[in-house]
Amino acid sequence: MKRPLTSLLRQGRHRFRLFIAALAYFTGLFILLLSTEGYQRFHSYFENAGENQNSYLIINKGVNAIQSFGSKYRSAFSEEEIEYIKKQPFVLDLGAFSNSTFRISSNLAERLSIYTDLFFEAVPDRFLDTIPPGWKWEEGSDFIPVIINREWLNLYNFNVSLMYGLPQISEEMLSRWTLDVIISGNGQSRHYRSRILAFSDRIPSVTVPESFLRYANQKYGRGTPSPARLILRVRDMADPQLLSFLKEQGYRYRQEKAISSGFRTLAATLLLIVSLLGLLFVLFAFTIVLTTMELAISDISGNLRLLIHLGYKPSGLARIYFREALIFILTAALLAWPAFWGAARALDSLPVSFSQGSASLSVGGPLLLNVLCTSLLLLYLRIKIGGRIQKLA
Amino acid sequence: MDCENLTIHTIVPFHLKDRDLSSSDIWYRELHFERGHHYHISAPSGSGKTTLARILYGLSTAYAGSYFIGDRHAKSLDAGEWSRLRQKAFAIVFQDLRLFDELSARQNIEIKNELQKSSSDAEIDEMLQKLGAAHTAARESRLLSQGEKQRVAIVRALCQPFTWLILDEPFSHLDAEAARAAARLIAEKAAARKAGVISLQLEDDDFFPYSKKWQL
Repeated sequence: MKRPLTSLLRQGRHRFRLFIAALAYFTGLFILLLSTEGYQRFHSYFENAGENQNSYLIINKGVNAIQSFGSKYRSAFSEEEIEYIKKQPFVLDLGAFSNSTFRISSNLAERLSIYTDLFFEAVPDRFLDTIPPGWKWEEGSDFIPVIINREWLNLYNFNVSLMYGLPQISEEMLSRWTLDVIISGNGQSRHYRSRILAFSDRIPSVTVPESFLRYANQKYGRGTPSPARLILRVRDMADPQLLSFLKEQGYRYRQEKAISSGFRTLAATLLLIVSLLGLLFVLFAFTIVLTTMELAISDISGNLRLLIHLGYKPSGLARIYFREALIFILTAALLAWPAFWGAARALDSLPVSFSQGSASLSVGGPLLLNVLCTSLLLLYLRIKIGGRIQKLA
Repeated sequence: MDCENLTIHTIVPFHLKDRDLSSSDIWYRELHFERGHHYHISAPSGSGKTTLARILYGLSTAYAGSYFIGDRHAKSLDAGEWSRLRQKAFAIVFQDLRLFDELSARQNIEIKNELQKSSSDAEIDEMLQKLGAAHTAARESRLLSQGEKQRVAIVRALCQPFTWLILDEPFSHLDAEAARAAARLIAEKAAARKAGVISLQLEDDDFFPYSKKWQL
């Protein structure tokens, strides 16, 4: 048999409304947690100064019609210019592209009946996105390791090969081929063997170790000239200071990087709107829970008053009401966690990911937010219910 | 808390301030109530009996003057302290009875007894029996007559431990014989607890061996 107190208080409770409030709280919390997670990933995507290739920027000077007929090195960076760029606060590191000043011929595509002249470039190893095993050259060695831009192979496979009816080549296949390279200049020449050890997404060139290029430029070429291209490691690709600096100096950089700034603003705005929506849901749920409890209390305020007059403690009665709301709110908060977790994992499995594998699912922020929101709601609820019942005394 | 004595010192409810209260033995006077004694306060309707009962039971603070429970000023007690007093020291029979309509007569008593659990089921049954209300136990209180409700309200007050019992026209809906039976039960329970009884009535009566009788 039900206790008389239980059946008396049951009349004023609105379980369905509490259920709706808990559902709204769950939804709001879920959106809020997910948008926080989204923001964290987004942040790390744009501002991670570590290994993320998006924090590398390749710049060069513009080439105009007059320069085309003028000195060969007009578009090169002087030492002063390089020092000036290095000093900028948004530049974390700077590397120069060295290019070859000797003649290079190769049977790169002899098997495909393409015989070609080549060029080599080098950057300091720390700017490479991949350093394959065997990536070194020492004087006396007749093997030149090479890294080429992955995009070029794509260009061949999806344009040249289709156009001329040539076979398509996979990265693995190309990596297995040993190529003959003839280096010549200053009245000398030498045969080298070469192989493509890796494919780079970052360096748009035929890259060889710096030590080889320095040696060969000295022996077969005109020494190492001033660099025409620089690679910068920056803290934030979309930093307005960086962008305005590049514009002021008239430096060119890859266009897609500029787009990222606009994209960033758009994505940040969207994430902000989603977060606000989540927050709105949470506040909405706060209001429903409070209104529901207010209604429940006022529906049987006469009975509650009599109970207090008979000797029941207002705080004890408030606890009964609070406990019921607590069950609904805690259930919503606890369920929001696995739901958020599942959704975040689902985001991970999308083909395009913000994190690019470098940012793992973070726990601290969303968990703290969940605990904070729920504690705030419960604390506020406790105070409101207590105050409302106390007034009846 | 010490509840052996109750003292009222020149109290007057705010709403009676403008009236001529010179003939009252209570308002603007200093009175002491001692535990173990029976007090009779009589007054016609509208002269403030229920107000006095509410003041003594801590439901009203709309008065001037002072009311002391032991050495504590009644207005200084918080809700928690009043709850403890109403569970262990003060029992009341309200003039308007104030039962929960949706509960049975028995549940109305149990809901009070649950607080201290000082009366057994058998004791409650016995009290209902003595008041001739045993048959009402299972019925919803909204279906009871006023007389039956009054009996239930009396048992509800008596089932708890108390030092003071405040009765606000407790027999108004009972016939003479039922009122005698109720008074006997009240006197018996009050004696067992060495409690003081303050009985507010319309007229003079001899239901209890009163120590003092006052006009309101």
